[in-house]
Amino acid sequence: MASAGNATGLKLTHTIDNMIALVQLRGHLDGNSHIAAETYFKMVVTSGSTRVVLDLAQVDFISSAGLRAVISLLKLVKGNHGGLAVCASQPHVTQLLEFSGLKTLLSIAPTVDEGRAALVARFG
Amino acid sequence: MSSESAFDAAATFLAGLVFFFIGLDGIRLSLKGLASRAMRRRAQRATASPLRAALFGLGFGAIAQSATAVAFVLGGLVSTRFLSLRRALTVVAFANPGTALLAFLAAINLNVATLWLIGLTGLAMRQRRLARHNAAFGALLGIGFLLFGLVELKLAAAPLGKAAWFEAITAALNSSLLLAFIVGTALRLVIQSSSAIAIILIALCGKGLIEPTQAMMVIHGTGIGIGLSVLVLGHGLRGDARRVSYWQVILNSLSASFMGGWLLLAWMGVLPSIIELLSQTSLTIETVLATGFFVQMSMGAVFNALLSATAPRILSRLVPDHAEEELAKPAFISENTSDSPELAVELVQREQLRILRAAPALLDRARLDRTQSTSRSSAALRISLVLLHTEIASFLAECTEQGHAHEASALLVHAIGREQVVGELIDAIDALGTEVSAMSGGTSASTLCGGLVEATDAMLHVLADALEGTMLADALEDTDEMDREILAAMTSDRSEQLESVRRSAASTRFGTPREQAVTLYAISLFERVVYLARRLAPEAAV
Repeated sequence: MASAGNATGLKLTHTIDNMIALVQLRGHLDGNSHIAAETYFKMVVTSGSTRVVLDLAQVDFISSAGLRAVISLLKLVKGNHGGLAVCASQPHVTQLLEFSGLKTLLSIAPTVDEGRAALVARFG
Repeated sequence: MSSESAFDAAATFLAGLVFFFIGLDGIRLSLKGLASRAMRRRAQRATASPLRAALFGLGFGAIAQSATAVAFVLGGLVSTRFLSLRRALTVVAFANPGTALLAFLAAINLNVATLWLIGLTGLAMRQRRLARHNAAFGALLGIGFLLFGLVELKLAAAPLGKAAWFEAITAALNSSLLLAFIVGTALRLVIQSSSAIAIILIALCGKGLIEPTQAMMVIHGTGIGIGLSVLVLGHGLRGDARRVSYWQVILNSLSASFMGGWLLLAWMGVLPSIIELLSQTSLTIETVLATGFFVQMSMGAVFNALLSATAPRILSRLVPDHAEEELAKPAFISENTSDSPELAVELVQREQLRILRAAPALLDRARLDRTQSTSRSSAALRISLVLLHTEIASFLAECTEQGHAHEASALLVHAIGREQVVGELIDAIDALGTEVSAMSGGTSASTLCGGLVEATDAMLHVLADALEGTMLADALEDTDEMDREILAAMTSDRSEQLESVRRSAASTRFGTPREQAVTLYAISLFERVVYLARRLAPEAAV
């Protein structure tokens, strides 16, 4: 399990299970933390994980900058023929993802297990 | 003087003043009509050298008849980079003596010539085949009304001067030079035309109702009035426009102080006054005062010449650079680039990208994420974006007038369509920011609307990145497929999804009726922004 925490109000950790990386975030994904998040996502994908479950259950706020960090991860995994599932149990985070229109490009699931299942169903 | 004749004189005076100002407004309105991009380019050519700038200033001042108006018009030209600041300062300095030329007309009988001017111009304006010159005829008719007002003012001066109340005022003025100076300042603030004040005083002095020295001091006082008036009316100006107006304040204040000080020293017997010097010639007292007024206004040009080397430094210190003003100025399009439609469209795309990069800041006041807020004022930013959009639209309209081949014309028409969408997008983003910022935080409505704002912001960034990518790749085929796919998803039709959000916002548990109304409106605005962004996407057909 790798992790990164910093003074930006966001803590990132990830584990890999069955070729699927589970990236968990805790805190705010906003203008202060989006660069740290993008860097972390890049590290995860370049280390070989092209199927990623992004767990936002403990993210209490996500801004447009945070959304762009998620888009950067989406581009990375798609560019490597992989996929992204976002687990967002908080209604306002789910709503923001829906407003963004990205629903057609990534799976939005209420739990990590369902997110993982969505990726397995799509990529085997 | 009987009360009846005083009443008649007051009516003539008032009517004269009204005709004067109707004429002045008519001239300014017609000048606005002439202020097309092509006209501004002519103005740019007319000020190509310092001498031409000085002559242009004289003519402009003589027609516009207001030092305040001249400062504001030139401020606009400088803001849109049609005139350099240095050149504009010269024009302002010479526009001032231009405004004083009218005072000489008060010394001659203009009655018949004025009536001919009004009659012939009015008839010409009724001719349909001359309709394209209506702006120029409008300016001429304005001059006619202005001169007619002057004639009436002169007619009213003699009987008015015999009224007891008027004698009391002139007696007070004649007793104190300082009072005369202050009255001049106050009159200029109220009447807004130094020429009108000078002409009234010349008429009164010609009838022997006021001492020439006092009349001259009132005229000198108007210089401070011009400065105060420009400061008050130019309160909202920024950047170079503000610098031009400040220069007008500085020049007029210096001129007024210099001339007022000279007259004071002359009154104390230290120096001969300008009136004494001019009276040694065969000039009438009316012409002497008109010349005194002209000299005062010309002092601005003298001070301008003395301070021209340091003027930009002084003004930069008084008015530091402002980001919004820089944004309003076109960075790529210019008058020389409209010959090639392909190049023109490419440069327009670069300007549009500047708008799209800056526009998300209109949402700052409504953001949930304050870390991304800038210190920009949304009102100032909106003005800058609209000004730049207007410049781009005028530029494209001018390009189409050059008679290009069918393919090139189609390219320009497409670009015009896209620019219209950009204009509508600015309005929609601004409206979304305004609506959501008015909501109080911590409610379901503010969270939902905040989400709309954050999603809009992200989409605009992705749109700008995609457009920039297209420009750099120089061909749509080479742009990143993934970027286009993401942009297509973000700008896709969301009506079904938003309909369900609308239904939930319309339920009584959602919030107060006001919160519901604002949320429903914000959803509509969001939908519109998405639709407009879709039309601007690189492969979209507008």
